[in-house]
Amino acid sequence: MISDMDKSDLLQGTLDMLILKVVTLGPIHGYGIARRIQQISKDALQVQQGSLYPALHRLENRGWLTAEWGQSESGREAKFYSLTKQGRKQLEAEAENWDRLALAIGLIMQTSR
Amino acid sequence: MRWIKTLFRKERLENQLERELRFHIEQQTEDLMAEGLSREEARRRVMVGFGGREVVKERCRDVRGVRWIEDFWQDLGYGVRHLRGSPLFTLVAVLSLALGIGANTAIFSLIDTIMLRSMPVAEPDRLVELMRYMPRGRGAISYPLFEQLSTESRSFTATFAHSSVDVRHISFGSEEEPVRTALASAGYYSTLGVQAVLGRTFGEEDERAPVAVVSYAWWYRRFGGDPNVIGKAFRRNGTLFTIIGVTPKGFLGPIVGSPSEVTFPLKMDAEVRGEESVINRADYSWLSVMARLRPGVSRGEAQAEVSGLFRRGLEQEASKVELRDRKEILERRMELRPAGNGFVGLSERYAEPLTALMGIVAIVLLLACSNLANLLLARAMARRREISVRLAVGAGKGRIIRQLMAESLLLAAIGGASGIALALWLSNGLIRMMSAGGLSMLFEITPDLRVLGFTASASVLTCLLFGLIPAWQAARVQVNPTLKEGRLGDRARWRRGLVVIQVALSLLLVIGGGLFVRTLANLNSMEPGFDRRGVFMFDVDLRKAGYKGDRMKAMQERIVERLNAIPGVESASFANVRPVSGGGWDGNVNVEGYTPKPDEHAQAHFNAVSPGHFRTLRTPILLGREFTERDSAKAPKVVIVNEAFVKRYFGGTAPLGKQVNKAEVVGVVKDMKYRTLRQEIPPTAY
Repeated sequence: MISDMDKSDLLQGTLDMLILKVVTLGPIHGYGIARRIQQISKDALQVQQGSLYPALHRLENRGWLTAEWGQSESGREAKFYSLTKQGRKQLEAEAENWDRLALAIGLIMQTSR
Repeated sequence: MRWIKTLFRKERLENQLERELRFHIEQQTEDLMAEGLSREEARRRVMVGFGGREVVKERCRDVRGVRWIEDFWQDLGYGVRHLRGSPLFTLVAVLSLALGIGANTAIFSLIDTIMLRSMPVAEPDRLVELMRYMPRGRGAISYPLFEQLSTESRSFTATFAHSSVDVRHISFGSEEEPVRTALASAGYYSTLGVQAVLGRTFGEEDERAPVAVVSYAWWYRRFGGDPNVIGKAFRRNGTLFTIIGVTPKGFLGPIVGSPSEVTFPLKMDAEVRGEESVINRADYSWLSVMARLRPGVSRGEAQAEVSGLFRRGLEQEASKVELRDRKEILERRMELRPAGNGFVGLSERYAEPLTALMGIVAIVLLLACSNLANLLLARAMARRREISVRLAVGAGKGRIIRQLMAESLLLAAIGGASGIALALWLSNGLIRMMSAGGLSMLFEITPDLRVLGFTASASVLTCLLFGLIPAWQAARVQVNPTLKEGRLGDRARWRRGLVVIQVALSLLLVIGGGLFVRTLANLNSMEPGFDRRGVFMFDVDLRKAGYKGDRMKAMQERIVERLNAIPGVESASFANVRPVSGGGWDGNVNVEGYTPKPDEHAQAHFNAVSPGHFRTLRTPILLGREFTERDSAKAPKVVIVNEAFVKRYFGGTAPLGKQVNKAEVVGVVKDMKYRTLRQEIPPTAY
């Protein structure tokens, strides 16, 4: 289990990609993003707040995410993030990159086995 | 543009960040409680997971992209507090900067105006001044000589002659008003390539017409810039002159520091000056001459041609005089000088003091920079502890450097602003200082922007450089402790070196400054030969009012009588030539018992003064007596001479009773400055 997913643990930009991917499913708040990553990865990935929020703010600042205030399931006020057009493009590019990288790494790992 | 918005929404963003994080904490706590944990345990786990809320916030702020601006403001605020905390340092640094920037800008602006700046005319580098030199110094040019040279020379496309600028009176109605006037020949405007902004300038076709061209400044002052000024007529010496044009704003005439307001055609000299007109006299040199070189002709070639022409005239002249005067005449020569800045008179006179001043202020700038450097270095040393502490608690190196830079910038900004203020103030002060002694100078000096830019950037760079070096070093010191000792040693040596330089420069400055101030003081308080206190001088022109001969004399006497009658007036007198008025009257003298050497002209300055003149000026009578009422026109002719006269013409013999120009010497007075304060006191006869 990768417990503390920090920028030193995960390739730079990987967290950004994961966030963007999760946000494609619809507007979602920060806590929701962390939970969803944890659920989808079957608890393999846990995103710490210390990495999550700076990443969210960075993505928002670059114009890949927009944010709106709304009501959470529990009736609390929360900041919901959604993907912008630019963000979608960015995600596509990054996913493509990731596929290539994963394939390349997989090939290397297989031959050396 | 996002970052600008971000900058202004700072408070809202902070608030939102706090709310966002609080939601996360509350929601997670609730979820954990749903799994069966107690509120306290859930809360604890959440907070552990967060790992410090402020750290998270800080990292969120970092990604906003306006961090550096926010930091900069913070740095500035911190810098202000810090500078205020050490007022002495701040004062010295700012003063030093202000002095460096201000003094340099002021002096260089002055030098630029007087010596370097070209007139706003077409191709100023093709202009030359024709200068006549006599064995004893520079002389002006007579009108006939100008005519001869301008018609015979082939090296120039155009030439013109220009008189000095003198205050004369003109009247638009009954009221007489003083204006600064000059006379210029027909080629004046065409040679310079100056076009009128309103109306037209005069040229060949109206050189004998009663017309005048006025300056922009005067037009603005006198007529408020009224375009109807063209065609307006004024009376001068009984002739009606019509204003035909206004010259451009930046054009102040060819005489630096002495712009004319109303310019007449030279050939109208007789009308403008009346009986004083000297236009046709070859023995009266009063003009400055400028010419524009023909394309392809160099200054050297032109000089050769003009010298030849001039020489021919000299030989003719020399053939007419006695043998012993010939040599003096033949030694005269003509020289051409670049005249793009205007006639050289003023620049020549002030070149030396100005260059000296420039040297001194350059040293001041150097000193200011080294001072600053030293101050900043010393300060950085003193702050090493503070910097180490900040590094230890996790401040970034870059951040610390930026902060020190902000402080330096702040210093530079304050110093620069004071420097500009000082430059303005000094420019005005300098003009006043230079115009002391009766020489009126009208300048348009504005601190030169280029100079200001240069001095300001020099100072600011110093600030930044010497603010940066210690910051850099201080930031490095912590990282590599072994480096620390070596670094410190280097720096100490460097600082000692600076101190030595500074002391040396300070000494130089004190000595140079002292010498300069003495020169200035000499000029300002030069012994004029009379007691300046309580002396009031003015000019009266009786001829203009129609007085002549005996009636004029009677009037003069009456004026003195009436002045003497005023309570509070101790004594009054008149003189033909007012002391240090700039004017003069000289001629040959025939002194009893003195035989001039073959190549010498026995000359002296003259003045005609009324009885009581020396008493009024409190000039000590060294021998004999002062003029009295009895020395009237009918009495035997008497003369009073000054010390310089006695020294030159009587040698060791007793002067009283000797004859000078058929008048008996009755007194000797202490030397009195004659034309200007700067000149040597000439032998003078009264």
